[in-house]
Amino acid sequence: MLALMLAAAIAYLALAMRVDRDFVAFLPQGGDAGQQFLARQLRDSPAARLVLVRVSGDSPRVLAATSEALRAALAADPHFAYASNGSLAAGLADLPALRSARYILSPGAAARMSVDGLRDALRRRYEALGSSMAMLEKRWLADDPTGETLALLALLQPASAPRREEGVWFDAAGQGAMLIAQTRASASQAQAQQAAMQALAAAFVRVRASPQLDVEYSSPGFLAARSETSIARDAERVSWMASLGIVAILCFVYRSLPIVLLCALPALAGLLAGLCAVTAGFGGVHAITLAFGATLIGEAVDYPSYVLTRYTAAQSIGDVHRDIRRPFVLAILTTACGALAFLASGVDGLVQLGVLTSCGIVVSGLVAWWIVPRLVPAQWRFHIPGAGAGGDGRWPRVRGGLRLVLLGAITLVLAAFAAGKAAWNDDPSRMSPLPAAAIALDQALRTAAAAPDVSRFALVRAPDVETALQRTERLLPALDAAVAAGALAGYDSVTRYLPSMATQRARVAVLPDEATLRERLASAVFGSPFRSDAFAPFLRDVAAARVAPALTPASFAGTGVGLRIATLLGHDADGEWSIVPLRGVKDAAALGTRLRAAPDGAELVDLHARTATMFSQFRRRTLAAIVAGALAITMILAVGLHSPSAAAQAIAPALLGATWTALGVIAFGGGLSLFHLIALMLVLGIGVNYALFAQGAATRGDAWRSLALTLGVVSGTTCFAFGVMATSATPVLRAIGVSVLAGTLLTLVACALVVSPPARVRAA
Amino acid sequence: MRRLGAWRAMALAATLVATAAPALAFDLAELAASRQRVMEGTARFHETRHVSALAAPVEREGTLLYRRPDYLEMNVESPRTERMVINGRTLRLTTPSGERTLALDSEPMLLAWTESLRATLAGDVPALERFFATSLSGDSGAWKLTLEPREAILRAQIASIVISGAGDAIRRIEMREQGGDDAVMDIAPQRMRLP
Repeated sequence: MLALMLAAAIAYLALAMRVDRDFVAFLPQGGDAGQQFLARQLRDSPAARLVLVRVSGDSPRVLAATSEALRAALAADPHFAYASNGSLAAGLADLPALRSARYILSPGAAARMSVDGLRDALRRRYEALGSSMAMLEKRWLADDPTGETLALLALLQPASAPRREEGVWFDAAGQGAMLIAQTRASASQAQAQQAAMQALAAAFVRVRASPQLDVEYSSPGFLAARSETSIARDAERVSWMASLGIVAILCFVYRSLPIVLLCALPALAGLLAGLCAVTAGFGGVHAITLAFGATLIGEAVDYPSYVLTRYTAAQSIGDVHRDIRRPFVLAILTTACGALAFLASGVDGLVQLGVLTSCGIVVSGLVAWWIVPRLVPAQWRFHIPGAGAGGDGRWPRVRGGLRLVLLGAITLVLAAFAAGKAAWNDDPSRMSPLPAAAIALDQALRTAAAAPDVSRFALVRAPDVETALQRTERLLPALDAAVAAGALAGYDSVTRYLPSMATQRARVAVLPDEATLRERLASAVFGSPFRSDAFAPFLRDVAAARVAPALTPASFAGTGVGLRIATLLGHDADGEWSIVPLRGVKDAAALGTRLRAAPDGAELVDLHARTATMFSQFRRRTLAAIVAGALAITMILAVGLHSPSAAAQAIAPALLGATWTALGVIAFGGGLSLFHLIALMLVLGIGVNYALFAQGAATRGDAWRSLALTLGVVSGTTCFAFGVMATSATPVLRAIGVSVLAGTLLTLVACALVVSPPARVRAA
Repeated sequence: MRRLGAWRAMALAATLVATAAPALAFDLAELAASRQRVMEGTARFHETRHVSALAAPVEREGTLLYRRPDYLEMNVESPRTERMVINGRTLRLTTPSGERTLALDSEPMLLAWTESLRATLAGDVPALERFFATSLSGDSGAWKLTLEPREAILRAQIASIVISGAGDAIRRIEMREQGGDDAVMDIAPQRMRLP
């Protein structure tokens, strides 16, 4: 029967389960417009598709040659939409599109086409031809005497560019050649990102000038893909080591292979049931949920031990069931209800975790209670090691007063260490599931590439592209005023590369017609050192600009300018957005006020602060869910134990254990984060289980040794599983492992101090 | 990349074959060796630049100073005073209206032109060969070194640079651009310091 159900569950999962890898499932849904924008940006923005590459390990000349070869290889690779290394070849690829649009893009071009303007321009061009820079200055002379191309190139020069050596970008130390590339796939498409990573590595091996060259690369998309594989690999390693350790402990305790296998049955059945429930409810399971959920259900390994460690020669299964029915049922109900609290968190990944855990725990409990005893070999009985030795039945005597003193002392010591330290730590980088080395590399590459800091920007929203561009243009006077006032170092606006249709039309409308320009040019050239027919291409190009089709984002497809437009202008479910990255913001609050007062009211977004806010809100919601869970547990206990004081005694050790753990994390772990809260929830569940069984044993007047053995086995397996997790390289898993390990041990201490047998038992 | 490498090797081989014939008379190594002995040298120059857009050529005059291994200074006296200092990988230009500094690495055109002059002055054959295909004719009494850019980007602007001289003295540099413009610089060596 059970085998049939297991087979059916496996078949269902094989057919229907999909493992999701979109890391946005672990970001909160809802929130304000800025937060939603941010969440989508993390997933979809072109900036998140940007890859930074550094090639190092040889002389600048060799590196430059490899850099250029790699750029060409990536530009031709279908995984990448764009690649650049700052070389002239890369720059020249962008030039034709820019040059043909120069009379639309360059503000004030028409003003330079008056007779005086032209005369002034010609005088300056003639001077330049007499200088040592003539070779550079006389580029674009005949078709562009007013110098719009040079002005545009100066305008497009980024505020901070990497240094150049041998004609390509290098890092500040001159040790590595820098490239940027943009993947075609969005940052959240982990598999496509992984394929792009492999393509990049393969291209490097193909083109590198010598085998001793090194390549490093990083991008939000690659980081996401890496985080997923590193979590998956870590979780897998932790699961294997924990399973082996738990099997070893159980083998030592039960000395019977069939019994050890039976102990795994409830956990396995629970995991399958949980996965079925999540798949049925969500259509898929998130990879991270899977990793966490498997660990949470690790608690289910304890359930058969609660039953089997009491199944001694003196007891029948019926006796065991009668003795521990109440604590067992309450333990399962409380853990399941605690996990259900995650349903209120509003985060897809956590909701899945709640469903997976609560469903899995209930099924594990049922299997451990009903099915495991039936499958125990007929002759097997649990043998208490060392039974028969003297004094094994007596409970340790600790005076009530001393108990209170000890409880108070532990609390006070931990509180003293935690005093003055920040309780919460919402630093997003700590939330990162990535190893610190990967984050450090990303930072280093960003600095080396002098990548623009886009953490602060003005956000303009509009129903359509034209309105977005017009609103952005109307925002610029306020920004220029801020720059002039010294409140802002500079900004980048999409309208530099793509003016609104209205502005484009206005600029074209003031361009002189061919006859007028010919006449003006003739007057300007007359008496100058230039030949009268030298500027025919100029007349031709201005005439062409007057009838040229309007610029659209597609006009710059596949160029560096196109990439910049795509980074600054886009659309999502709420319509079009345009972002204006701000450099060197002095006073964010004052600037925010200034921006809101602008004609269409833009919003100042501080990405770093926003992310931290988002995580802190997320954390508050999780905290609320945990408080609700604790209340639900207390109520279940009060009803189930028919006594408020018994309920208080059952929940007190868990609360104490969780509080001590929280104080410990604040004192020694740098503050509580979201993931510590998940760990505390687990500590609470485990603590209630221990207290319930201790209380039951105390009430029945069980031998101390028997209780100590049961709790020793269950806490031993738990501590081992989370101890292994504490060695994980993934910060999030390590935080959970350390917290649960410490919490479990502290809860046992609290249990020993709080739960005491009634006076009559002590007397006996 | 690999094909380009082979192509370059062929070009180099062709150059070697071409220069091997007059090797008995005078070769690049010999010219380089004679230049490598020069520690410092000054000269006067007169440059005539033809620009198709201009009715008359632009004429410039001034002095040149070269110091081993990579310092080059150009002081223009007419038509306007101007001082250009190329030191290592940077170029500093001082005019009456101000000063500007450029990284040669950011302007491949400028770097190539600088190297054509500086590497010839220094007798640095590898630096020359990096940017240009070279061919040398004449003998040590009157030689002519023709440089043709290797990179397509440079070839798009510079057709050739022809440097001629006698012994270890450089007498004339002609730069021919695509499209017909050219600049001819006549050089009159003044003083030379040998070790």
